[in-house]
Amino acid sequence: MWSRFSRRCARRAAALGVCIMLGAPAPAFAQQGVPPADADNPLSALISGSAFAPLKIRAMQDDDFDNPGFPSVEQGEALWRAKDGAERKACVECHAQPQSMRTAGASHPKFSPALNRVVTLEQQINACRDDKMKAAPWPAESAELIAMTAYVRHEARGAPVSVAIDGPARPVFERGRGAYTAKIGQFALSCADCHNASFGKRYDGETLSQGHSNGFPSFSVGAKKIGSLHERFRACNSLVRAEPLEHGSEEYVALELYLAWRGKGLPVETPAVRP
Amino acid sequence: MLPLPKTISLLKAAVLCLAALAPATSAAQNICKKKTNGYAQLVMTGFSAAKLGGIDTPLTSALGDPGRGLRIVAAADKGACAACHQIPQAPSERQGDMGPSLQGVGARYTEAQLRQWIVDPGAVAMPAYHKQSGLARVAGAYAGKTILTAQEVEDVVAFLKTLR
Repeated sequence: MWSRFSRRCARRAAALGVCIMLGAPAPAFAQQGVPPADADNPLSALISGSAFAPLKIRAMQDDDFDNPGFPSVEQGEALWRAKDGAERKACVECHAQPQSMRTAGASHPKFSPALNRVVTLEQQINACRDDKMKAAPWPAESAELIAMTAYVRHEARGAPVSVAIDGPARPVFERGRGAYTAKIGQFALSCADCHNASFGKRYDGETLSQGHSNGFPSFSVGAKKIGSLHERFRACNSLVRAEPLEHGSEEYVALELYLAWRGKGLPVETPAVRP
Repeated sequence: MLPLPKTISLLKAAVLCLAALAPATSAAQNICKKKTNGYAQLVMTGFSAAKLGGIDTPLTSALGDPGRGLRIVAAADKGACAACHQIPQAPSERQGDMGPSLQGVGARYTEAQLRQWIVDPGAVAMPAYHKQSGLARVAGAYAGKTILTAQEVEDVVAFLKTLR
């Protein structure tokens, strides 16, 4: 069986091989806009945040050795195999192949019949720990929860984001859509104000992206750490002087579902690297 | 065989061309331009402000001071206007271009319209600097406060009127 290290080595060798064949110095991340799947998507072409990042940071993301989010993915892989909780079970014992997580990594938030609500991947991981392992949930933004989320999402790397917004997920989706355009905080700005209308423009010296969620958990070079999508929501809220909400709050789960739909079709890029 | 300096300059030109063709960013920028032009034109023609109306009456009895206005416009914890707008008198290291340049803004709008823009520009993607009600989820430290005081609004309006 291949270790993660050897897989990373193989990827790098393959990338080098392509470079040598083309005589190019580095593989440019030639992401073209992906057409949105649904007509009511506010964007006419979906562009991943990496296309708006400086070249240096894009190169960092594209090289698994330089990507500073990888230690977290590797911690997640170790946790995946580690027995935990009163049941002394490991994730790997039920989910034999991590590849089986490819679907899970690209399709959350998702309605959970067991919990009778829409859950994020983080919440599903903790639900598994509680139900199957009899282990204490990992706290929001803990290294363990970010690592496991990053690991599962990384297993889905390259798979198109795909979420369901029908049935019981519909009201949650509509709540998220409303939250996206609601002007909040002392600045009275909405997510849409920056990320629908002004992507590609500069705000306070930084290029605004379309604000997609396909790279989370994502490493912030400025903050020097990997963080969850809800942590990013909290940072954006603070920027417009709005009260940040709790990780995993209903409003944030709804916003996350809407964002996944808004970026449906973009490849999962976890762990992304951003300025 | 070309002489060495000529070869080097040709190589440099080729590298520059390749850089100009760097695919992802320029593709992204092209799509961005398409998406944002409509908004920029809307703002530049004054359509939004006309729709907004204006605030004819100054918020304070004391006249606005354009010098103080410039300092408020430039201050990162006050107007921070350069985060989105080019302002010839207030260059910034963290320059933004989310909004249009403010060059000539005093000629494009009446004083009442300028006041409206600053107090509450409505649906436009710009902070409402003196909106006192109808705000949602304001962070505790800022609850019940406006970004600028009434006098600061008048100072900023006085400064913007000088941009002709």
